[in-house]
Amino acid sequence: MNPTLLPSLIRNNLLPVVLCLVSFGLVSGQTEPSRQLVTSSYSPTPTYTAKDTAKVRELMEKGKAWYQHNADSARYYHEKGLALARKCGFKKGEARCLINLANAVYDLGEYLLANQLCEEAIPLCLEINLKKELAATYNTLANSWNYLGNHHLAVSYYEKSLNAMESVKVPPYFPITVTNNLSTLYLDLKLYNKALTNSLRCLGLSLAIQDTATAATASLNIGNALKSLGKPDSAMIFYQQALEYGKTSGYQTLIVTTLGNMSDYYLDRGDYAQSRQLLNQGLALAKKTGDEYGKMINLHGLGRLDYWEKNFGSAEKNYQAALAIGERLGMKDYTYTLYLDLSDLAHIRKDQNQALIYRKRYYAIRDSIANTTLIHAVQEMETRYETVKKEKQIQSLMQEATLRQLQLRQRNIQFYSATALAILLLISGFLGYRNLRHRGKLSVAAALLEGQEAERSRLARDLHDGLGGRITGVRHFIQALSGRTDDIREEFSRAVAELDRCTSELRHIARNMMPEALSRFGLKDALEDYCDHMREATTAEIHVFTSGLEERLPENKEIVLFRIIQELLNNAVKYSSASEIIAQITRDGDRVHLTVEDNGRGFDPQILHTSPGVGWANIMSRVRYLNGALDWHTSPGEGLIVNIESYV
Amino acid sequence: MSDTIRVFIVDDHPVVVEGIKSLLQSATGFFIAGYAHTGAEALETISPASTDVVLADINLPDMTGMDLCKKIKSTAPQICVLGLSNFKERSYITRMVDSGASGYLLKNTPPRQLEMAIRMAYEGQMYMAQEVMQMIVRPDATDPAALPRMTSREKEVLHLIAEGMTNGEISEKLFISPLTVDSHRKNLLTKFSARNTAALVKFAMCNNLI
Repeated sequence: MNPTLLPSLIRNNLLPVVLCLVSFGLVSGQTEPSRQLVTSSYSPTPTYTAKDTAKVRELMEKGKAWYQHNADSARYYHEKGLALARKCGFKKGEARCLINLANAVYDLGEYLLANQLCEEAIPLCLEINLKKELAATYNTLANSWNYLGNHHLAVSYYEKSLNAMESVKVPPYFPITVTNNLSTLYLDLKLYNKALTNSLRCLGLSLAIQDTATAATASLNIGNALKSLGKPDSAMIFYQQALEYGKTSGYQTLIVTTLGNMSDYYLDRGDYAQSRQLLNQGLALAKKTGDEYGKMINLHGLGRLDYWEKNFGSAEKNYQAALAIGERLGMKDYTYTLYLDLSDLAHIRKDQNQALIYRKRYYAIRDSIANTTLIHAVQEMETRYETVKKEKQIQSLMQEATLRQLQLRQRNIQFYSATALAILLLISGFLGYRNLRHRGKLSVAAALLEGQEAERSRLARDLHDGLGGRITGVRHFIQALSGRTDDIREEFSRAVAELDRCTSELRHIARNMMPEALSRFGLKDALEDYCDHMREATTAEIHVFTSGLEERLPENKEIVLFRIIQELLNNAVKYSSASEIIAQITRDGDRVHLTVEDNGRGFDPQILHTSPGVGWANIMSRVRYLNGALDWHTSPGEGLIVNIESYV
Repeated sequence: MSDTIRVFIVDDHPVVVEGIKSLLQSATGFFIAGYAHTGAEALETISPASTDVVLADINLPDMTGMDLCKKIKSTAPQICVLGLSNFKERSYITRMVDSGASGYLLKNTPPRQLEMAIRMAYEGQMYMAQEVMQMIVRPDATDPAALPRMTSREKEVLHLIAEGMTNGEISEKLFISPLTVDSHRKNLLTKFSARNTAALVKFAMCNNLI
């Protein structure tokens, strides 16, 4: 067990929430089916002999045996196995060697190489349908990306790993390990709802096979997610559970971490005594089990408690003790917060010099951590863009060729220029004529559109102010009456409820017809309000972004832009089954960009070309009214992206 | 609780005024100090000495409820104003509260809550109807800690910026105008509160956006 800590950067009142990343059982798991290799050699296209497969298997077994003790030796055997499998075209063997080798180099810290090996293994696994191996490969790839700092990619590979497991029988700890890692990662990414869902699933799965150690981690993760979601009381229930499962499985480091997080709860409520008791308990346990990391966090926690209770001397002692451990363990990503706390203390002692020294150290370490992340990101980018670079080279070669062609052509141009000029004149004449006619058509359409909007606006006001007001008045009357007549109370309340439905229906109609906020406050508020109401009707996350809309646009343009985004949002909510929708209007100078994107089911783009619906036709006519340009992308399963650019 | 609260009603619908009047008259502890159908009428009729709480419609023929509220508060800050509306739009609610209102009520508020709201306002507290509360508490996105979402186009542009391409080069690559590229760049800066392009790229790298 090697709990990786991911201290949060937010320095609230006490300890950062401590997360646990459990090490992986998949490593030895995927070499287990090697016994089947013998049978696989009887497959219908054996270009390799039983002797070859036996040799590959033997090398793999050796590598597997070495893996636990010396990854370097494991690497040697897996490399040999891989070479042999390749030489004789034994694909299954090749895939398995690749995965084992990837795991070995991952352990040796060569993450980019591990990624490369996994990338090679994936098409092989897909080709010969090795689902279990595929799941393991994705898991390793996710681990590696996680280490390289690309958490988002890691999430997507963990998910792929889980998907690959769905249709194949795997040992129960496969999905548990991956789900567990995934929920830890979600916590780290601060996606608490997703973390919660996954850790709950993990808890269920692990309890089903009575794996109490994993159940303990899952409970701790659930507690942390709930705590971050602002539900400390529910979090405590799961922390308690984590303690119990931790005790059953003898998972001491987890108990220490959980105690620390629990102490936070009491600190938040101002119960210093209880908080201190838990920290002392954690410290004692950490000392007993030689858990240096646990010792450090509990000392740190005690120091902060001392600080809160104004026992500055004791606080200093605890911080220093924690710092000593942290420095010995080389846990820079934890110790830098200690420097900040020490700096605060020095400040209180009025020792400004010392305060400055600590603070400088805090900044230095923080920056170096940020730089490491940056370096990882750069490495990742380099590999990712290597292919792009090659493409670029090809492109530049092609450009050279076209340049030469151009020079040739230039000579001819002189001959043709006279003719071209004549043709140009003709074309511009034609275009001018067409434009004139077109403008005529446009202005009729524009007048229609404007008239329509004016009518709508009037109707909406009438509905809202006239009818709406009356209904409300009647409602108040009825309610005032109902207080006096006990015997027909039920009928009265039914009438009131019915009237309420009328009002809300009416509000809905009026809002869609012409939102009041649009004319009164402008596009930004109208869009935000509209999305508020859309959120009531859908589970999809709607993200709104506007910029440059502080200054109002001409009212007719605002209405048209609003109509377009209203139509697009409605479509996205109604038809796309998206989980995420982005609605965005930005203005830069005289240009206005409108974007609506969803990650939903998308559709065959041919549909819009052959039979666009009424809604789409409306959008097109409005874009024309704005003299705008519309561009959209979709395909089945790919969501829909609509970009509109227009001028004010 | 023993005090009688003097309530002034402003709504352009006589029916609403009558409705609220009859509601409050049937409850104990309230006295109708007067009513008005327009903002101007209200400002003329309200007597600061004999009014505790004003129930003001958001949509008056001559001014908005926010304007009315601001004016009342500027001349008689001790008077509490409660916004009254059919709208539960965030834009109205926040503006009304900004104008100094003590709360925001929907016109379909049950009588008990109307009474409670007036009492709370009178005691100097803020009242928000449950529905109103839900509207303002609801965050813009489900996860407040999450980074702002980028559109696909912005992602493309960000990648190319990180590769060191100029606006012109990006525009050629994506078949859009260089001005559009520049707009995307500006939006990205705004979205991630980055001071300049270098800061944007650094931020994006640190957060694994590219």
